[in-house]
Amino acid sequence: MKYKKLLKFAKYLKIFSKEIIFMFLAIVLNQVCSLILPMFMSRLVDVGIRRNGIEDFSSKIFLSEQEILSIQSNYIIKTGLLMLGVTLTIVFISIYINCKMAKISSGISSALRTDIFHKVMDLPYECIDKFSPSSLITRLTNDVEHVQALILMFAQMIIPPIVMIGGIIMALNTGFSMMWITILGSMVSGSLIFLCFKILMPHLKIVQKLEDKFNLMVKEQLTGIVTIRGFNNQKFEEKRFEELNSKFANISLFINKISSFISPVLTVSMNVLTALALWIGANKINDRSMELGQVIAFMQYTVMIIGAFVMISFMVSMIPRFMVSVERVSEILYFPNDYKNIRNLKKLSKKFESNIEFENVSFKYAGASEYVLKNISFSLNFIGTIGIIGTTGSGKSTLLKLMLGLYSPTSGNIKIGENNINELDRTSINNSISYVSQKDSLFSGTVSSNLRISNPEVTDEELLEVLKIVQLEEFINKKGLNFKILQSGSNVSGGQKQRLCLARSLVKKSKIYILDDVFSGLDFKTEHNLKNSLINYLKESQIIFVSQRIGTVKDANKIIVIDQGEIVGMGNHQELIQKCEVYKRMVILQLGRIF
Amino acid sequence: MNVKNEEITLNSNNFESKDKNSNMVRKRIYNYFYKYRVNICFAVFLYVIDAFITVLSPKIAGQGITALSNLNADGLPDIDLNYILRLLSFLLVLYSLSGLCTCLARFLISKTSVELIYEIRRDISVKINKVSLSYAESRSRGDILSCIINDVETLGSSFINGICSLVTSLITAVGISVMMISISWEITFTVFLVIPLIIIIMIFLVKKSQHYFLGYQQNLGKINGCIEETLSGYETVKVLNAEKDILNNFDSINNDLCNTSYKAQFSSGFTSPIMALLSNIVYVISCIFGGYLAVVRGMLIGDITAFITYSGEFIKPLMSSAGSLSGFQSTFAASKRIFELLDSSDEQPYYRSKLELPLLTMDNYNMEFKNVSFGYDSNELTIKNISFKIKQGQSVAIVGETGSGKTTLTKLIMRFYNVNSGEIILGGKDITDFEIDHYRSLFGIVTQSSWLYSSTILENIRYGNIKASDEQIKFTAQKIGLNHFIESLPNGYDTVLEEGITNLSEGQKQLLCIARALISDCKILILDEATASVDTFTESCLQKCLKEILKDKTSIIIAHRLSTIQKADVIFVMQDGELIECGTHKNLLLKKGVYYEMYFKAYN
Repeated sequence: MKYKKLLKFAKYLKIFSKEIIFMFLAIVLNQVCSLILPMFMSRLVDVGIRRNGIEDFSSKIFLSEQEILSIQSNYIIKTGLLMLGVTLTIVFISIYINCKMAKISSGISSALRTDIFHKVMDLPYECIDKFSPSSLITRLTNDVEHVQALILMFAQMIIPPIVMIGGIIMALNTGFSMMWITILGSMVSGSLIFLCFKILMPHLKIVQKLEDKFNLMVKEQLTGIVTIRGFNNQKFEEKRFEELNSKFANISLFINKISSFISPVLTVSMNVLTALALWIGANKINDRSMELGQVIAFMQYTVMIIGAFVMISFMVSMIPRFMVSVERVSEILYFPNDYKNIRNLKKLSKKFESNIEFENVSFKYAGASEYVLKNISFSLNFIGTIGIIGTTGSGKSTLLKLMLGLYSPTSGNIKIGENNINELDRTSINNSISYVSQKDSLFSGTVSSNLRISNPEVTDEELLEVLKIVQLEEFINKKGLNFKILQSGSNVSGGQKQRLCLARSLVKKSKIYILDDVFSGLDFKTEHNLKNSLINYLKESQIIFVSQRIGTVKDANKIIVIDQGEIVGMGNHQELIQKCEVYKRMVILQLGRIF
Repeated sequence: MNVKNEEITLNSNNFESKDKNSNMVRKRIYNYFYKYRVNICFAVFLYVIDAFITVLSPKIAGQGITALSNLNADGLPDIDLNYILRLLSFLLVLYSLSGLCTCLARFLISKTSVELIYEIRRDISVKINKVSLSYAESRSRGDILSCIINDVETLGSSFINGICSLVTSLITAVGISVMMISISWEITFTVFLVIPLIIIIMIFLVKKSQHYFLGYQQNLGKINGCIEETLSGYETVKVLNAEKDILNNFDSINNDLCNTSYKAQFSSGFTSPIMALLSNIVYVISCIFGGYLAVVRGMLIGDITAFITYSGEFIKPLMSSAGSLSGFQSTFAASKRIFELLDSSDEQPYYRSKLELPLLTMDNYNMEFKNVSFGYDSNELTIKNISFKIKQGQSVAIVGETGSGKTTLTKLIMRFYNVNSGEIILGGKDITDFEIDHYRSLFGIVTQSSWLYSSTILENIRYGNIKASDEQIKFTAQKIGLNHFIESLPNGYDTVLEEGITNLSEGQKQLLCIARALISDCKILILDEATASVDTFTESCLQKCLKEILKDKTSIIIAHRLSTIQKADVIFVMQDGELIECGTHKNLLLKKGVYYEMYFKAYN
C-alpha cells in the first residue's frame, strides 16, 4: 500500500521525460556494445587462433602455412580494431549518459525542494504548529536528499535489466543448453540476498532509532551540564550512556556478522558457477556440440547476468530505508489543499475603522478536547492604549492569533472594521495590524535588510529614528546599519533581537500594534524608557499591550483580564482593582500593594 | 627586513607545531588500535591469503581453458576430462578457502570496529561529564554531536577497512603484475604504458571535481541555512507578509545549488566512463596482442584468458587503494576533532591541595566573597571585585539588568568557574579546598532553562537524589502543589517526558525542576529565574511552602519579579558586574538608590 506513494513521485521523472528517454536509448546502446565485446573475443579465439573455418577454406585452395598465418593475423588485427572502435563508442556514450544523469538528478532535487518549500510557505499557520518547525526542517533537508537518491536510483534501475536481458539473449545465442546454470545462479544469489535482508531489516530499523536516542542523550548531557553536575549525577549519566552504547554495539555486531557473510558467499557461489560452466563446457566441446570460444563467452555472460541480478537485489533492499523519508515528505507535499478554496477574499483597506469585535468566540485546537478560549466577547473601539493581561496558559496568545486570522475560531465571529475576519485576505490584515512577539526572529542579512522586510521604501534616517525609539541608538552607532546579522540573529543578544524586531514593525507604520510580551527580556529601566518613547511615537496608532506583568498594562485605557480561557474583567486599572478578584490578586502578588 | 625574518620564523614554527600535532594524532590512533592488534593482524593475514588465491586462480582456470583447447591429431577437440575434473576440484577448494578467509576477516574487522566505536564513544561520554564548563559552553552542540556520531564512526570503521584494503590491494597488485609478466612481458609492458596516462587524466578530473564539490557543499549549507531560518521564524514570516521575499531568495539559492550540483556530479561522473575505457582498452590490447602471439608464437589460449582476467583485476586494487588513501585523510581529520574533544581541559577536582574536610558536619555554612573578580575572557571582567557575606539560613535575592553577572555569580559559587582573583569562603575554608563533587552535594540548583531528561516524571524528580524513595518524591511534589497536576495526567508519575516535552508547560517544567532540587536535601538552594514562567498565583503558593522547607537552608534567588524578591532577608543589586547596593527591601527603598529607581520606574 505504502509504495503507492512512491508512484506519486514519478511525476518528477516526467519533467525530464525527454532526457530520460535519450538516456535510456544511450544505455541500451551502451550495453549492446559491451555485450558485443565477448562475442568478438569468441570469434577471435575460434577463427583467429584455432583456424575454424580457415582450415576448411585453406584445404580447398591449398594455402601454405605462411599464408594461413597472415590471414590469421589480419583477422586478429581487424577484429581487434573493431573491438577498439566499440570501446571508444562505449566511452562516448558513457560520457553522454553521465551528463544526462547529472542533469536529471540535480534538476529533480531542485524541483522537489522548490515544491516542498513553496508548499510549506503556503500551509496555513495551524499546520506548521502541527508538524512542528524542527520536523519540517529535517523533512526539507535530510528527507528531500533521501527522496532524491531514491528517485535517482529508479532512473538507474534501467541499467541492470538491460544488462540482464542482453546477457540472457547473448548467452542463449552462445550456449542455449547451458542456460540452466545461469538460472540456477541467479536464483541462488537472489534468494541469499533476500534472506539476509529479511533478517537484517528489523535490526536496521532499531539501529536508526538508537541513533536518534544517541543524539538526544548527548544533547541532553550538553544542555544540562550545570544541572547534572549540580546534583553530582555524572556517574548516573555515564551509566545511562553506557547502557545505550552497549545496546548499540550488540545490535551492530549482529548486523555486521550477517552482512560480512553476504559478499564472500556471493563471490564463492559465482566462482562455483563458472567452474560448473567450465566442466559442462568441456563435455560439450568433447561432444563437438560447442566451440571453445563459445564456452568462454558464455562464462563471461553468466558472470554479467548474475552481477546485474545482485545489483537489482541491492537496489530493492535499499528502498525500505528511504521509505520513511518518502512518507514524511509526501505527508507535506500532498497535504490537502482545502483551505485554498475560499477565494474572493476582501481586502482590508488601509484606512479601515480600527475597531475589533469578538462575538461569543470559542476556540480549541484541532483534535483537542478542551477549549482554550470560551465565549469571548468584547469590542475594542480604540481610544488610547489597550492592555490584555493573563497568566501563562490563560489563552491570551491564542486570542491574539485569532485576532490576526492565523487561526479560525471554532465558533463565534470576529470582526475587524465591520468585516468578518473569515472573509478577509490575511495579507491585508497583516498590512494593517503589526504583531510583535517575544518569539519573533531575525533573518540573515544586515540590520537594515531586516528592518526593510516590512517596508522596502523606508530611508536610512527613518531607520535610525526608529532604532533610537527602541533604545538601540548606542548599538547602532557602534555597529552601523550594515552590521551583519547571522542566521536567526544568533550574533545579537536576546534583548537586542527583541528590540530589533520591534523596530522592524515600527517601520511598517500600521494602524494597530499588538505587542505580545515584548518587554519580558528587558530590565525594568530599559522597559520603562522604551515604553514611554514608543507611546509617544505611535500617537497616531492604537497599541495593544499583552503581558503577564501588571506594570506593562496598568496605564492602559482599557485592560482585558483573561483567566483560564475566559474574560474575567474589563476596565481600567482602578476599576479592575475594585471589581476584579483575579486582577486584584495579581496586583497584590506582583506589586506587593494596591496603590 | 627584520619583520620578514620574523614572519618566516613564525611560519616555520607553525609548521613544526602542525607536524608535531599530526604525529601526536597518529600516535593516539595507534594507541587506540594497539589493543586490537591481534584481531587486526589476523584479519590482514586472512586477507593476504585471499589475495594469493585471487592471484593464483585465473592462472589455474587458464590451464583449464588450455586443456579445453587441446586438439587431437585430426585437429578435433580432445579433452582430458579427468584432468579438468581434478583441476576444477582444486579450484573449488581454493575458492571455498578464499570465501572462508574473507568471511572470517570481515567478521573480525567489523567486530573490532564495533568494539572500538563503543570504546571511543564511552570515552567521550565520560569526558563530557567532566569537561570544564568553559569548553562545553564555547563549542557548539552540533559540533560535539557530529563528533560523537559521525567522526567516531569514521575513525572506527573506515580506518580499519582502509588499512586492510590498502595492504591487500598492494599485495594483489604486485602479485597480479608478477603473474602478468610471467605470462607475457610484452603485453604487460603495453598495458603498463596505458595505465599511467589514464591515471594522470583521472587525477586531473578528480581535482577539478573537488573544486565543484566544494561549491556544491557551500550552496547546500546555504539552502539548509535558509530553510532552517525561515521555519524557525515562521510566525514572523507570516505576520510580516515576507513570504515573497523569502521564496525569491530561496529560488535563487536553489538555482545556484542546481547548477553547482550538476557540475559537481558531471565532473565526478567522468570517473566511471574513464575507468570503463581503461579496462576495455586493456581488454582489447590483451585480445589483439595475445591473439597475435598465439598465432605467431603459439601462446596458449588459457594464458590469454588468464591474462585478460588479470588485466581486469589489476585496476581494482589500484582504485581501492586510491580510495583508502583519501579515506585516511578524512579519518585523520575526524580523529583530530575527537582528540581535541578528549584532550580539552577537565574540571579541576582540587584547586590547591586535597583536604579531607568534614563537609557535611561543619558547624556552619556561612559564605563569604572576598574581593572576587572573574572574567570569561581575560581582558573583560564579568564580576568586578565583589565582597559580601551570607549567613547560614538567610534568603538572598540578586537583582540587576540582563548581563549584569547574576548567573555568573552562581556559577562561581558552584565552582563551575574559578575566580581570577579573590576568595570564596564557606564555613571558614576556601571553597577550592573541598573535593568538588563533595562540595557540590551541598547545593540544590534550578537553572534558567528548565532541564529535564527523557524519562518519567518520577525519575526526573528522583534525579535530585537517586536514593530517594517513591514516597519521598510524592511527598515533595505534594508540598509544592505539583501532586494534583501530576495525578491528573493519564499516566500520573509514570508519564514519560518526550523530546521537546510538549505535554508540559514551561511553568510546570520549572516546578518539576524545583521539586528535583528540593529532594536533594541540600544546604544551599540556588534558584536562577526559576519561577519566571510560573504564574504569580502559583508562585505565591510556592513561596509559602518554600519558606517552610527552607527554614534552616540558605537560598540564593535570582529574579526579575519584585514580588519574588521583596521578602528576602538580603537583596543584592548588581550592575555591570559590580555589587552596588545591598540590604533589605525597606532599607533599599529608603536609600533611594538604583533599587529605588528600578522599583518605581517599573511600577509608577
